[in-house]
This record gives sequence, structure tokens and C-alpha cells, in this order.
Amino acid sequence: MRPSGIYDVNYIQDQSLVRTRVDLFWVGFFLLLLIAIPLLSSQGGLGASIVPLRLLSILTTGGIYLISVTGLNILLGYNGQISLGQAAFMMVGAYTSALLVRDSGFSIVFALPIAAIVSGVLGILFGLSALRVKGFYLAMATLSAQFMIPWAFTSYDAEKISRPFKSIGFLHDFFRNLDFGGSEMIVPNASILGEEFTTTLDKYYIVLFFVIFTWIAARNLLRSRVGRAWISIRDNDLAAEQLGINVFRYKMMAFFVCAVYAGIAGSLKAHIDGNITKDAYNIEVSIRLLAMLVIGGAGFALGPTFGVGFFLFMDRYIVHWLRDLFEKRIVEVLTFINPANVPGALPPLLLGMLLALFLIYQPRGIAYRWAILQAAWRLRPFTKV
Amino acid sequence: MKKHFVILLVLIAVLATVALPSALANRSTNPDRMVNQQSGRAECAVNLADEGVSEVSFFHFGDLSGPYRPISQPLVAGLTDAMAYFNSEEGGGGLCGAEITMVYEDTGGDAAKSTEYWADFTSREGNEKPRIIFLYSSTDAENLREQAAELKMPILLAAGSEKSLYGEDQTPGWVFAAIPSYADQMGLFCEYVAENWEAMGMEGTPTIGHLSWNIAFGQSSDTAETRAYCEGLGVGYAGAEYFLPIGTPDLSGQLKKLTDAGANIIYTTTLATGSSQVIRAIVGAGLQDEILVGGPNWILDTSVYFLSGADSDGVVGTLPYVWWDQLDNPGVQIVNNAWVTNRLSVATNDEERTAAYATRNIAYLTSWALLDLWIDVMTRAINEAGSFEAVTGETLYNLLNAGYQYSAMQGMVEYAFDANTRSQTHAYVGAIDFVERDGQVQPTIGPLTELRELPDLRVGGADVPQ
Amino acid sequence: MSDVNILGQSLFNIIQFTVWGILSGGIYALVALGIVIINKASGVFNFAHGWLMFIGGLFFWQVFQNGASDQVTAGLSLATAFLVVGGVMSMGIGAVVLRPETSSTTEGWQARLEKIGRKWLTTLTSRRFLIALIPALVAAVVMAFLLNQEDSKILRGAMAGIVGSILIGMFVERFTIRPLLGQPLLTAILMTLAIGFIIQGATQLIWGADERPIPVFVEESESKPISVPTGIDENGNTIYTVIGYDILPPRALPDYQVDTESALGESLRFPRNLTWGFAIAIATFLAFVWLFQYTSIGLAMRATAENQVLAESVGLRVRLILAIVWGTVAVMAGIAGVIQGTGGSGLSALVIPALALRVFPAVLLGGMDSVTGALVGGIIIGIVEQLSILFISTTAAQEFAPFIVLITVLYFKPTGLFGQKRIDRV
Repeated sequence: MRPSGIYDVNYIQDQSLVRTRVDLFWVGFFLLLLIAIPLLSSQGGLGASIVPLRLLSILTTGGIYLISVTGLNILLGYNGQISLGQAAFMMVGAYTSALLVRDSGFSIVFALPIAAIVSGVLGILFGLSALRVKGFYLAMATLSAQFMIPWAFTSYDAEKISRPFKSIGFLHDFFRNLDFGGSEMIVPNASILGEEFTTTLDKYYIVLFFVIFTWIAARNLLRSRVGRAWISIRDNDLAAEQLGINVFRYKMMAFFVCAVYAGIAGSLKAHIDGNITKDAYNIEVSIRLLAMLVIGGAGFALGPTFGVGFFLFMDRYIVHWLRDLFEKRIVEVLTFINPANVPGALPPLLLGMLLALFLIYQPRGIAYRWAILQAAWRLRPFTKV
Repeated sequence: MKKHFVILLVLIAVLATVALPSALANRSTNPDRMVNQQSGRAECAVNLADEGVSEVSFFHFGDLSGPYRPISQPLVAGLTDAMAYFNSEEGGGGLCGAEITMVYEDTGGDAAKSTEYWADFTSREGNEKPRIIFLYSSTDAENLREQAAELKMPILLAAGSEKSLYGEDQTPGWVFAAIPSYADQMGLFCEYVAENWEAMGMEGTPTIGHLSWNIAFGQSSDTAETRAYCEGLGVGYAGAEYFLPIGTPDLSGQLKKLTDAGANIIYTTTLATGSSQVIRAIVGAGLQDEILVGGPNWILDTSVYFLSGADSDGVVGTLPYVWWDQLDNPGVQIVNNAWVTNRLSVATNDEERTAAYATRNIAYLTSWALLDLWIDVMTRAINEAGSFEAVTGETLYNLLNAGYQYSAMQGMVEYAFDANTRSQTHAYVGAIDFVERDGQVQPTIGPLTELRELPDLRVGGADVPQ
Repeated sequence: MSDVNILGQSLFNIIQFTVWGILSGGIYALVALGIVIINKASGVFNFAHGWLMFIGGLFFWQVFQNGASDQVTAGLSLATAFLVVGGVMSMGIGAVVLRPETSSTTEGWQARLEKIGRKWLTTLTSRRFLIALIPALVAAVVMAFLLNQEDSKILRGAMAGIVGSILIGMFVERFTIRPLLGQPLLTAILMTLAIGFIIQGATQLIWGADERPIPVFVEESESKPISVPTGIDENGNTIYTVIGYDILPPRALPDYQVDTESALGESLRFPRNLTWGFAIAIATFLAFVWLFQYTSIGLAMRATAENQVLAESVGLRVRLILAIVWGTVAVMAGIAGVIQGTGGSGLSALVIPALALRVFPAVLLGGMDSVTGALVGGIIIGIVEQLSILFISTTAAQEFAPFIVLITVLYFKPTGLFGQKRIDRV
């Protein structure tokens, strides 16, 4: 929100992340709030337990999703391509990081970036097949990734894979010793300088750090030459090509960055959950991440935050309230509903309805509505919303 | 450094002199001694209502709408009825004067949701914090095993894989299973097959092919230990085929591969739909007379003959409890009466009666024993700690770990845990049998053998051949 | 001949698994055709197709298993009449899909009402309608008679499945796809995902997540009461209570066998549900191909698929046509769902939608806008899947093999085998 009478007088000002003192105030306020919240919980060491630990654990989950959705936002919101395999690339990050920490004794400080890069490179391998052609072929390529990657990890057979490499000693040993643990894998806690992150509080802080880091990185990328190229491709790829932008290269870059973000989120998720399971990274998760982005508002800086927040609020609070309502009241009216079916039926029903309603009535998401409200406030009383 | 050490020693000595007598005094009212004559359950030394605790919740989460559904939906029905019974005067009036309630979540078989609910449940505080959490699936238990130990939150598991109970490093952990581990059950099955192969009228040497679900539960029967144990008994091994609980339309090909390898026994570590799919595939191939179908305790269930009808006649499995049909057991009588009153007699038409019949299954039955076990453990823990608030996961863990025995539902299930054992150790071998009586068909499940001790087939277990 | 080995597998096994692959490929082809047609007509890649299969199957199951009440029978007969009227009236370049000529301005609600009234009156008194009415009434009466027969379980189920599917298909089109006309492709894809979630939630709320076997390929057996012990009387005798008749599914029938013992060493087996499923799938496939290629309504559909604006401008009622397309495609999906439900896994919310996702590789392999491609792609994917079960593992067949085909297609021939070469390179 900017008071009237203040204008950007140069390009640097126009492009800066924090443009006015009011902006600075809000950014500082939210940062402080996020840092201070856990101190008021029972693990905070201040003796106060105003904030329930449950809220912290929800925020931690939210933070991980936020990183992943931010990646999707770059791909879908700013580059106009769709990925149905975000969860699979999270899984790549999760396994890479877990293996590095468990078997090679890496600290997460090194494991996480490596995981992110590996996931990005794998993303490129799948992306290459589809990015040459226009249309939604990337959705198909990532759909394949979504099935093939989890399959490869969970049915990895060290015996069989290493056999052909018998003559090449180090490769043979490498494949022989890889252990993805079959259908699921237990992951050690993250640690930095020998300090293990075990409590809810620790986990919250480590995720918070990466959320802030990735968010700033995304903002900076988007206001650079690369970001502008992405947006121009999204808006009109022919015009972008005419301007001398290598469309294929930039699309590839967007997909790479998206997969890197997935890798970061996956690595964090593995260490915070303490395990990797196929279900945590399946197609449904990918679709849910997309839904979060669309509900929040693709192509807006605040879109992912709104989307993830809204989704978690629905998933953790509203669904419970609705479940009570169904099990106690609605079942009496609609007698064909068996109360036992309610807990399983509500989450998909609610998610589907919300997604459909948003797509029809507010396809640009909550962030768009928020931008309109902001504008309305600035122009008051001359507004009509 | 030395000085500190001396001070520490002195402190410990002082503490010991102060604390020991009181601890001993506590010991004299040995909570284990105070046992209800009728139910055999521990009596309360504390009234929770005085403490201001009016409700204590039984926490569980698991798959209520996914592949486990045919088993787990009746579980909720059973727990609801059992809760009402145990809260009534007749059933003991709740947990030490507090009402027993239930807090549960449906994961739909999604292991990721289990992780989320685990974080949610364990981050609750005060009296709303669970002291022990009941889970249904081996996958969940394997995933959460380490965290359970870290957060000191014991897990009560419906039935477990060897890996979930003892982990990779073979340490008895914080997971306690109410039913023998699947590896041990496999051992029992091989014993039975080796002893009765001729008597069953089967030909050739018994050879097992595994046709199971591609999840932790499904893969838990086929281990190096069970293979060695069975081969030691003269039961061969033909291989294993795993299929996804989600999205496998047909099993003809998998079955063909196993029979090509010489399998004449198909052992399926699946439940409900999985088992019936296996049975259907065998009938489809026209091999029902040449192949024996076996499985763990879950295959001996109403859901299996509900889905595959008379084709499931003769299926062999483990039976670690007294089944519904043995009405001479007082515990089964209580459960049966509750089922008739709450489920069967409220049904007015055929459709509702069928639905009621579907709840007369393994989970409804065992949920009573589980809740009874939970009340007993909690009571003993409350007695030991002195108040509900002082009970932690650790209290319960120590109690179970120190050697705990309980005959739940007056002899329906015998539970025994100690420092080395994390699951039940005795079971019958049982089978599904379609009896015709007075023109009425009656699918029953009954024991084929006496109650016997299962072999210990964990990694490095006592019965594993060297 | 019988001891030939290829990669460690006998020749017989390879032939047997290929046969199974072709049979299951028939169902994939039917599902793929639905996806291709929707894609051609609405330009939407339908991710909810599996759920359309599932809910169509559920309608079938509901009436098949529980019988139809009088109201349902009456409703189904009426629906038959309606379908016949629709069918007859749209024969030839006809009244239904063409917009009647109208003057462009109408003023006031009375005028508008009068116009609508006149339109309906013209339609209802047209010779075409009156001619259509006769067979329609006959059909309704015959249908009502047939539905009331004791042993017409399958017919009852099929009618319920068809009518229910049409309604669901049109409902989906009207309330979710139509509001999105002109929106970007992404929005439409997400919308189909949303529809999938909604159907998943709704079916689970009403029917629960139980697997429902559709016992068609079963032994005929006399129905006997099922009883359970429910108590003990004073003398210590067990009391039995009868739950009901036909609660448990009857025994399954073994597969068809073709004697190839002399040539291959073993007999080839044809699972009943797959064999019949293949036959029905191919018949349905051909029927719909006929509908699209040789009827006027099919022509209108193809015209709409080619260019909506152009179709509108020559007087085709595009929105009605799209509704019809969705209705027919939903029926195709429902048929595939029922076929799948007769198999070992039953009608399962876990199996069927996952199966529909495995059809995407078939669609891309065949070409996204090619009807022939759907058939060939479906059968190839079926064979690939069965052979991967034989040579690798079950999970590889479901999660790896079809998708490696998809990636290969994307790398080397994004148009698919039979697709039109309209793809723009970047």
C-alpha cells in the first residue's frame, strides 16, 4: 500500500523489494511475528504456553508446501506451463538428501543444495521431452515422472542393478550399496554442526529459514532479466521469440528452478517427517499442490502463501468442523449417508468443490481479489468493488 | 570437575534416602494385586473424577476408507459399542471414573497423512495429549517407529511386521503388536503344512509362492528367516509376486508365473479385497483343487468370504484369538450380545441385516479386547503414577516392557509383552469352513489345531535355522 | 515348438500374456476413445474419466444388485422413450442439432414467452416428432415390461447405468466445463481434476469405499439362507439367526480354455470377464465410431470439434452438441467401468481411476485426436503391460512400462502414431 504523492523516480526504486517505509514496517512485523510465535509455546523456554504446539507443527508443514508451491508458481504463474509431477521431484530431493545424511554423514547444509540440484537435473531430463513442443505436453511428461520416479525408488533392487556394472569397480560398489529401503525409508533428523533438530520448535525454525530464503530468491529471480523473459513467454511466446529471447532455453530454466524448489521442499520434508513414503509424494499430492497455487492465485507473489494458508485452514480446521456437522446433524436429514463414510469423503469433496468454485468464479485466485481490495482501499472513497 | 562429581554423588545419596522409602511405600500397594475378580482387570486406586478429569480419550488413526476399509470400518463400530459397554456400570464404569471417549482420524491408507496426524496427535498438550496411540498398519508403524522412541510415545499396533516391532537393528522398540508378527505367523503356517500335507490329500512337495500386496504389510511374511525355517521343515519356496493394493485389475499373470515356478501353495499377505482377488484368480485358472490358499490372521475374516463367497472355503490362516463362533467363551458372549443388540436387531430389512453381518468381523471382535487391554494398562499406569496427569508414554512403556500379561475379555485374547517380546506369541491355525445345517449355509471360522506357541522368526530369532 | 525360450520365458507364456494384453487392451481402447472424443470436441483433456467410469459402474451395480423400485422402472422406461425420440428426431440433417431460424430482436417478456411457446408448439406438432412418438411409446412399454421380468438383472443395471451416465455427463458439462469456455487450457485440466475429487467424495459419501463385485460370470446356484449363531439357550444349544438370502457372492466360473496342448504344450486361457469385456468394448467402440462417422449427429459433433465458432455460425447448436458428446462419452466410460467391475477386483474406487490414468500413454501413443489411434494405442499398452508383468514385475507394469512408452512418444513422435501433425515447435 503506498500513500499518494510518492512516486518511484528511478528504476532501482521501482524494482526494489521493499519500496516504502510502510512496506518495511509490514515486512518487519511479519518476520518478527513468525520468529516470535514459537517462543510463546511450551517448548519456547519462556514458560508461556499460549501457542499450541499443534499450530507450530501445522505451520511447519505449511512452510514445506509453501516452498514447493512457490516453485510451481514460477513455472505456472510466471511461465505458463503446467507440471503434474511436483511431488515426484520432491521425492527425488527427499531421497538424495536422506541418503547423503544417513550414509555419507553429510550435514543438511550440504545435503540440501545437492538434493535440490539433483532434483533439478532430473526435472530437465523429463522436461526435455516435452518442452520442445507447445501445449500441455509438459503435463504428460511430468505425469510420467510422477509414476516412474516413485516406482524407481521403491522397487530399486541393488542386486539386479549393480550386476551389469561388474567390470567397473566403483560404479558397481556405488549401485550395490545404494539402499532406498524398499517401500519406505526411515530418515535421520537434520543436523547442523552436530546439533540435531528434534523438537517441534527446531523443525519450525529450520523450515522458516528456508521459506524466507527461497521466497527472497524467487522474488529476486523474477525481477531479473530471466524473470522478465519468463513473463514475456507466458504472455506471448511469439512476441518473446521476436524480441530475441530463446524460448526453449528459458522454458527449460523455469522448469529447472521449479524442480529445484521441489527438491528443497522434499529434502526438508524427509528430515521433518522422519520418513519417506510413496504416499507422501504421489500424484494426489502433486494435484493438491497445483490446487493450492490456483486457489491462492498463480502469478502473484502472495499467491502461494494465500493458497497454502487457505488449504491448511480448510484441511485442519474446517474439515473437522464439517465432519462434526455431518456426523451429528446432516446424517439425520440425509439418511442415505452412512456416518462411517463421512471422514473419508469430506476432504476430497471439499477440495473438489472449492477448486471448481474458484476456477469458475475466481480463476485468478485469492491474491487477485486481495490486490483489488488493496486498490479499493487506496482509492477510497472513490471505489466500487 | 571432581568437585562437581562429588556434589552430584552427595545429591544422589540424599535423594535416594528421601525417595526410596516413599517409592517402597508405593510398591506396597502393588497395583498388580488389585484385580477385579470378574473381569480380571486391574482395579483403580485413584478416582479420576476427583482429579477433575472427566474424559480420557483412546487415540487412533489409520486407513478407514482405503484398502483396509472392509476391516477397519467395523473396527470403529466395535470400538463404539465396546466404549459404551465399558463406560456402563456393568463394564466397569469407564476408566477409573472418567468417561472413555475416542479420538480418531481417517488416513485413507495414505502414509503421508499418517505422518501428519502423528505430528498432530503428538503435539497435543496436557490432558488432551495421548499416552499411547493405536495404529492399524505396519507401514505406519515402520515409519513412525523411530519417532515413537524419540518422543517416548508408545504405539499399540493391531498387528505388525517384524521390521516395525524390532527395526533394522533388532532392538525391541516402542511398538507393541496385539497379534503375532507376520513372520512368526508364516512359521506357524509352514509347521501346519509340513505336518498335515498328506492328510489334506495334496500331491507333490509343498511349495509356497507369495502373492501379496506391495506394501510393508504385504512384504512382511516373506523374509530370509521364514524361508529358511520353512525349507527346514520341507516346505519349498517358489518365489514372490507383489501387486499394488491400488490399481491392479487382474492377477492371472502373476499366478501363472508362480505356478510355473512350481507353487502349489499360495500364501497371500493381503486382506479383504486383496485376498479375494487372489482367490478369484485361482478359481479362474481352475486350480482351486490343486492349490492351498494360506495367509496371516486377516485372511480368516468375514470380509474375505463376503467378497469371494464359497470360493473361500478351505482357506487356512492364523487365529490368535477365540473367534465369534465359539460362544462358550464369556468374552465372546459379551461381544456377541452387544453385536446382536446394537447391530443385528436394529436392522429392519435384508440390506441392513447384511450390513450388520459385515460388521461381525475380526476388527469388531478384537477391538473389544484392545480396548480392554488399553483400560487395564492405563489403570495400572494411573495407579503407579498416582494421577492421570502424571502418566506419560514412558510410564506405559515401562509397564509393558517390564513384563506384562493380561487375559483380555476374560480369556478371548491372551496378551503378553516383556523386555524382549513385542507381540503376542500363541495362536491356533484356523480355516474358513462353509457348513450346511438344516438347509442353511453357515460360513464359520474355527481352529484346526490346539493353541500353540509360534516360532520366533525375527532376525536372529531363537527358531531361525543357523 | 514348446521348448523355445525367449529371455528365460517359454513361448507359450509369451503368447498367453500377449493374448491377455490384447484382451485388457480392448478396455483401454474404449477408455482412450472417450478421452480422445472429449479432447476433440471440448478441447479438454479429461482427467476425471476414471471417475466417470466408476460412477457409471455404480449406477449399474445399484440397480443390478438391489433391483429397481417401481418408480425407478417407470423412470427408466420414460428415459427410454426420451432417448428414442431424440434418436429418431436427429436422424438426417435434422431439427435437434440445427438452430431454428429466428428473428434477432424480441421485445418484452410476453413476446419472448410467446416465441418460446410457439417454438415448442412447432416442435411438438411437427411431423418428425409425431413419427418419433410412436416407436418411443412402443419402446417405453416394451422396456417397462422387460424391466419387470425376474431375470433381467443385467438389462435393468445396464439401463440404469446408461441413463445415470448420460445425466452425469451432461451435468458435468453444463456446470463445470461450459462456464470455462474460452478459458486457458490449464483451467480446463484443473477443472476435470476437481470433478474427479467431487465424484470421489460424493460416491464415497453415498456408497462408501467398499469394493463391489459385479457377479456376472458366476455359477448358477439355488439360493440358500445364510445364518449365524447369535446366542445360547437355557439348554446350552446354540441359537441360529437367518440373516438373509444371496448375501454372499456365488462361486466364480473358471476361464475359457482353448486347447493348444499339441502346439504349445499348454492350453491358452481366456478369462471370462476379459473376453466378454473385450468383445463388448470393441462392439461399443465400433458403434460409436459409426455414430461419429456416419450419422448426422456425428457429423455435427465432428464439425464442432473442428471449429466451434464456425460450427456456431452455420447454425449448429454447439452447446447442445457438447452436452450430447459428454453424455455419450460418459456412457462409454460407464460401460468400461462395468466391464472392469466384473473382474477380480470388483468395482473399486482404488482400481478404476488408477486404470484410467494408465490410459493416457495409450492416448498419446495413438495420437490425441485419432480414433484409430485410440484402438491401436489401447491394445499396444495392454500388451506392453502384460509383457512387463511377465518379464519384470507387476509394479513395473503399472507404474513404469506405460509411462516409459509415453516419454518415448514425447521424445520421438509427439503427434502419436495416427495424430494430425498440427504440433507447433517452439
